[in-house]
Amino acid sequence: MIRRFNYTKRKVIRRDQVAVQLVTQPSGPASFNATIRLDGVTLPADARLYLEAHYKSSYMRFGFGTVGAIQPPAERVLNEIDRGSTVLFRLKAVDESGTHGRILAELDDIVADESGGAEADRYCILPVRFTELGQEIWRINFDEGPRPILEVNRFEGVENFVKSDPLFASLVFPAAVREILTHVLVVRAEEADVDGDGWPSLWMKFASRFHAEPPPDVEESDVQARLDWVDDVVRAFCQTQTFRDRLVAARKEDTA
Amino acid sequence: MAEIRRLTEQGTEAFRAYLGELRAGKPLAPPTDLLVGAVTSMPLTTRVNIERDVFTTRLEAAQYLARILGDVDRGQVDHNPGLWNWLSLFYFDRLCPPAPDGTRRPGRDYRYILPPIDDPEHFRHYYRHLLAGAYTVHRLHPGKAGVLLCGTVDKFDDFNEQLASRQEFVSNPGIIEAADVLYFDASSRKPKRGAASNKRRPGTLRRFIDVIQQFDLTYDLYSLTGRQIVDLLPEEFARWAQR
Repeated sequence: MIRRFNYTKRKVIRRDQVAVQLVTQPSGPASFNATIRLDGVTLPADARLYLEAHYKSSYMRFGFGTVGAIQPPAERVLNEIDRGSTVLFRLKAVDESGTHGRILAELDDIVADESGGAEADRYCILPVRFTELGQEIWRINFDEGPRPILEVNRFEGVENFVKSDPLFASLVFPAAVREILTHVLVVRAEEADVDGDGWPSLWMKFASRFHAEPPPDVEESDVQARLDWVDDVVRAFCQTQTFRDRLVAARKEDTA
Repeated sequence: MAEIRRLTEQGTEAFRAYLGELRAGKPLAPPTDLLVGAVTSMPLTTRVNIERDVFTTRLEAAQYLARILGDVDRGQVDHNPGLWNWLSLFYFDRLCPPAPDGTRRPGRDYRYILPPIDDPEHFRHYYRHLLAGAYTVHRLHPGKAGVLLCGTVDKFDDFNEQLASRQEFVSNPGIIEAADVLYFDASSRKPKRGAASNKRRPGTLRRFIDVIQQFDLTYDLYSLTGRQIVDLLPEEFARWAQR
């Protein structure tokens, strides 16, 4: 089983309870709209809500009233956030009745929707970034941002190559899945806290769809058992996606 | 007095090649012709004049640059590697002073050359650029962050590596103020001795990072002042706050 730890006793805010839409301008900084629904989350009505926007060293914090009276601020311009970058948000419910504000609930890694609502309910566990990688074609970046990013080198037509070419899908995605799962279970070797909504948990949930057994317990299993589990997941993932068949068919078309 | 420009890609690569030659032991003077060459540099959209020999410390550099770049659109400053690369070359004698025999020992390229923002290296190294890093810290914490800005401009110390590399630390005024309370000696304008020990001795910088990361799970640290954060810290930090 995926083990559930919640040492902080924080309440859980589900990802579908918060939606942020970015409003970009032709010139000048972007602003945002946010919808927050906390039904089903047991929190004091007077707990303060804060939505924090951040990227790199830039950070802005917006008060959204209280749990009992959610009130977006009038000013929601992201003028202190670095331009030209992906803005991430986190929502905090804070108990300010004592000397030091205590976090009662938090949802991190909220990606603002820039599609006008079409993508608002989707959360991508592996965003793709096209960037300069020298002669390297792709890699997984674990260092930047709160979840892994699939970085792909720039060249003409690369967007379509990634999006729809069976060659890319069949060679890259299984390797990417293997690398990320190995990172979670072996390199980080941390239990996935599914209550926390963090990226390792979301990846474990994704991987569990391809395996009858839950991920091995990190504390009680050896490394080989975890690697074997990852192998099984990748094999089943490839089976489901019929990568070999799609690759062979595409090659036949190319040579016809 | 000179007019600030920005290095083009070609100018930046020539600067990078120069750094490589220095590392190979060649006692070369900085290629200042790149600063004004039509192919290697371009003017800014806003005219800004700049002087040499006006700062020694990171704080003085950040204050000076913040002042002279005050009228330039922020987007043209923050995400303009060509500007920061030009400034690095302009001030190269400060950022990488020559030894008496004329040789120089430059640091890694990212100390002087800022990777473009869409380059994966940018996120890893932007705070390590000797001028852009100091400027960013000063902009985030004007009049504060003594422990991050007190060093000479050619040095990048462990306080900067440990604090500026962590987004949740460097963007939080309370945490930076707490670091000053604990580790900055205002009378000597230097970090307190032994504070940056890499052995996790009680109350030192690395312990501060460990404890703050634990607090971050419980407390809303962005709402706290530096003094409030210091008051929350365990006893091991008391002697640093009192020194």
